[in-house]
Amino acid sequence: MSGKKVLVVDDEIHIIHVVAIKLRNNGYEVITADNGAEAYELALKEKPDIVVTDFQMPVMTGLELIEKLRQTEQTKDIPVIMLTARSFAISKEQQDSLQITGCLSKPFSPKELLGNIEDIIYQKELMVNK
Amino acid sequence: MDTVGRSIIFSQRRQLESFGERLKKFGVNFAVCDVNGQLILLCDGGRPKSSPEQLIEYSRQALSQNGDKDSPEKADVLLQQLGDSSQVLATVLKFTSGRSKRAESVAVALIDMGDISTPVAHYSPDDMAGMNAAPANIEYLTEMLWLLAESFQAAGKAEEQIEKVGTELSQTYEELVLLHKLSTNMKVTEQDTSFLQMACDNLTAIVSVEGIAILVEKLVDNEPQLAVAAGSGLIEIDERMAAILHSRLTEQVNNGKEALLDSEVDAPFRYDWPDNIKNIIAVPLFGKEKTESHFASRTKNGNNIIGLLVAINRIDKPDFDSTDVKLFSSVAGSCAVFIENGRLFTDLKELFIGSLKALTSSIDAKDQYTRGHSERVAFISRWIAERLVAGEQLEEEQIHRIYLAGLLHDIGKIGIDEAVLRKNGKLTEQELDRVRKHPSIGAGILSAIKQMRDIVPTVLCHHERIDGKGYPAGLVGNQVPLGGKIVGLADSFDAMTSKRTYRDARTVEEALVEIEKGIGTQFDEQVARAFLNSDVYHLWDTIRDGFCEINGSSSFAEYGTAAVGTLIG
Repeated sequence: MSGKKVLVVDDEIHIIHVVAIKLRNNGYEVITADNGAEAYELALKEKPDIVVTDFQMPVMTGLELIEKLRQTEQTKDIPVIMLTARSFAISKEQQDSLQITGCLSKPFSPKELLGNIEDIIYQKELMVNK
Repeated sequence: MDTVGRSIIFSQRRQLESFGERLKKFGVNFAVCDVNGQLILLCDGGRPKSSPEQLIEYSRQALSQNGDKDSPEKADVLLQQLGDSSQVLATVLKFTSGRSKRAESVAVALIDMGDISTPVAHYSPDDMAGMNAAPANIEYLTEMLWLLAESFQAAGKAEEQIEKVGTELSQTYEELVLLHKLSTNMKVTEQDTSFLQMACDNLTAIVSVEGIAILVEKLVDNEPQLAVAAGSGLIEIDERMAAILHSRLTEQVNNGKEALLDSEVDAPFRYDWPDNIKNIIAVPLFGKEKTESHFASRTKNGNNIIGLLVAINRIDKPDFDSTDVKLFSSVAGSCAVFIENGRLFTDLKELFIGSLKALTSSIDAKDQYTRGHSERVAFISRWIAERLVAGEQLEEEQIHRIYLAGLLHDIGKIGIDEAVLRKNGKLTEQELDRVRKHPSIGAGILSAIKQMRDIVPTVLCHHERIDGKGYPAGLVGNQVPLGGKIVGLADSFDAMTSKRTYRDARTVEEALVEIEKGIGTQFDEQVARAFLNSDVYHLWDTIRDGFCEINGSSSFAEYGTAAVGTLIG
């Protein structure tokens, strides 16, 4: 499943690196941002296939970012995975209403994250081919 | 362009953009073209400039001239003259991998000075105003481009460092998640090996090895042996290999080591291994300190090795090291606790059922004709419970409880005078009264024990009749709990078919007729039918044969142990 673009957003640089390295080693193109505002701009410009974001960030939280993405025509359908140390702070209703595909709590297994992303890409391809 | 090159371009993009912005001041154009011929950046300085196609062509030329230079560290700037008036400076942006020490071209940065005959537009009223592409200024721009190439190289090195750290961190995360998974999945269950299998599978996933196996001690033909309990990947451990591993590991532990580590790297190997093994690691599973152990191999400091975790042939590294020892030891520790807990639980259940049987046997033995009665009633009750149909299919737990109630149904007899129990003739009304107290006495004894409360109703009601003429409470019809109906029937059947002081044993046929007659009065129809429709002769033979395996049900001893699990689990 190569040639897919993932936008990774986290204010903790080591998380970005861990995720980026894992994904790049498996053929994904990775673009990164360390805050929600920058991420939103990047999403508009680069049109990533998937967004992986943290929850707790300065300036704009992950939830706010997702809200904004969902409200914008070009980005409203991009699948989002949340990586967070505060997964308990997000209710099931919020997850559903913001269409968050998955929520992984830290420390996460990078392999598992890769697996989730590959599933999403696979589902997407199935839909497109219908 | 490989992934690292791509990532560098991305992280350096802002620097490249701001470099281009600053160059606008000089009225020149800045462009970056990747090795695939894609223009990824173009900053327009206001001059008539070369077309994108021309820029791409220039970069291709620069790459072929400069791309595979032998001295990877030095950046080189090329000046290309096109026609009389157009000049372009180009330098190849490279990345030198720490691993390969080779310089790879990532992109080409170009300063397009355009047509030098036209005047330059300027943006700021400083010293540089009005500058045109005179030779001296070409020198200046050349220096800037050279500096850009140098800093790009440095950025590449830093990026590679970060990648290494990130990879290690990623690995550490995986290990953390594994240990967390093991801890949270540890439940005190029977000796099922799915926990051990999960440990193997997860470990194989995060440590690149050819194969992993967990060996656990067990008794094979009454001999203690290490046998494979779970495994992943390509690994074959036969009896001989297991014994060898065990003794070599014990030797290491006795020498104060945490693990058995051996590899071709320490050539020659410390030990002699089968040909397919290039490196190997084994860590012990320690059990609780016992005074007697299956194995004579108590280690020097008194620890019992109850098993071991072994892995062979590390794929991504030449051999195993201390970080592996630590991770494997942690996993082995969890497995050992799991196994020991399982054993303790089994020991506990065996102790419990053993005590119950000792108790009921001693009660049965008070009267020579009732020897073995409780165990038979338990067995028959279970038989009936398993065959109930028509909406009353019972859960396994309920069947366990009925079985145990059957075992304990006469426990109240402990409060009955032996003389009365053994009396040869007919009992007086007074004596009958005393005997009829045994269900309530039994229920009283059992209700004092928390874990027994579920079987109290059955014990209390096993002499009730559905016509209300039973005792102690004279319950009618469905007031009698199901357990009571079942055990009551089982009790009666066994009584009928046993010799008593006052009569001989009835045959099975006669007993079945009696039971049929008692439907609607003594016995519940559904329960009785379930019994009568079953293969009673087979049941009879089994009981007389001493409860051997039938229909896949486990032997008496094992079933009892499993059944008490329902009470104390």
